[in-house]
Amino acid sequence: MCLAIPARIVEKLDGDAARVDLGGVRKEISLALVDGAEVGDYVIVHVGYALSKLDPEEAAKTLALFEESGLDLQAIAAGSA
Amino acid sequence: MNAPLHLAATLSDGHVTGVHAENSRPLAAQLLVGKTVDEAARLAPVVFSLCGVAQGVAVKAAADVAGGGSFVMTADIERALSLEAIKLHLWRLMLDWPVLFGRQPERTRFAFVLKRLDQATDARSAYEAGGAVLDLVARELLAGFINSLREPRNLTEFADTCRRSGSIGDALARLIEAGASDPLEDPVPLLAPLPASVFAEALPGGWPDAAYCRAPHLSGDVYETGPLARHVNNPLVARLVVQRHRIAARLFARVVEMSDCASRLRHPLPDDMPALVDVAPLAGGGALARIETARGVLLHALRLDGDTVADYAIVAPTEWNFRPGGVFEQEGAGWAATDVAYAEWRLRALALALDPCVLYDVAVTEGAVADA
Repeated sequence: MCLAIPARIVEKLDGDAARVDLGGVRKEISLALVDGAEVGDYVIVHVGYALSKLDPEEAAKTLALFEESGLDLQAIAAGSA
Repeated sequence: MNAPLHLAATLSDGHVTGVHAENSRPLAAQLLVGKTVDEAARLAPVVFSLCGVAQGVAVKAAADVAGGGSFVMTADIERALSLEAIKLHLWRLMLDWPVLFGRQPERTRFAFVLKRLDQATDARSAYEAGGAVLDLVARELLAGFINSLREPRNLTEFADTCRRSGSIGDALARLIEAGASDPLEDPVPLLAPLPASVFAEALPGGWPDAAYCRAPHLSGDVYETGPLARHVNNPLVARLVVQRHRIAARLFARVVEMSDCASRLRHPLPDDMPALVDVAPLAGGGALARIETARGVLLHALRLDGDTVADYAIVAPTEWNFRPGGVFEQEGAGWAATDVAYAEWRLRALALALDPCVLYDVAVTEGAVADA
């Protein structure tokens, strides 16, 4: 199963592209599959695409869970998007 | 190396050898330990991004039985699982397969179809969405077969028939024209849908430990899981398998499966198809849930301490197909390749056909050339 780290949109780029912060790792992704995502929103990302939006409270809980787990968040982020 | 799944091989003397799948993704089921059942069921779909519906259902199903109750499959669950599987299949078919053939991913079209599918929120709208998927399957792959009064006589005609359909048919035609893809005299056996009890009884030590989760097997034997294993009896899929076009057969099986999923959207819980979900108790306490997902069989094992998750293990389809000695490593080796670029392309095609649920990369290095 693929782990989903909530990613925060930090910049909208040309077309449907955006830059996100994914556990401290900056990635360029596509927003083609979600409607109305704006800078500051959290999205779930898989292999370069935002799959869905996530409300900030849910995103915070999920990020806290990953941090408590001891899993290498940056390695997961680097390899999952 | 960034990708959690690194696929490597060597090209020596014009043959691909030393195929190796290195899987470094974390076994993250432990994230659910210590949570209440409700928390775990809420977290699983968020934490495991791609098949979140299946993961959430698996948590709930395993917990129901581990807690001494029973799991009741409903039409709503079946529709949600089928819808998720269709989306995942379409992702590959519209975004990833075109890229393999040098074309652009069909993002706009995929986004449009996703929005259409997201409107399936009740029985009636799911019925309509299922109809739209069946129409898509007919247009994209089967139009040529539907319009012909006889089956193709040979593979050349088979490819031509595929090409008379849409972009998926075109991808299939190109795969067939790339030549037979199965170098194995003795292919890795296919894991047909089996009840959870079969897996539960075969688990070494009665529980899927970390070694098992990384390299699952059934009574010591390695299997391939996924659409080909579920649809190898379809006559057209079987024909490609017999002709040793296993990569193409997997692509065809994926489309066949989309039509099955569409049928489940329209008429859930059919008597003439295998159950998507079931659960078996584990001998040492706890329960094992089995779900057929887009990528293959997904197993969740859970033990409870009251209402709290005491132990958790997940065996994902990717681990069956990309385990050491698994179908990717076996089928990826032994065939002829003219150069590194072609070898990488073929391994990418095989990986895509086996459909790992994580990012992967492929690297082929030039090996030593034997003396003439």
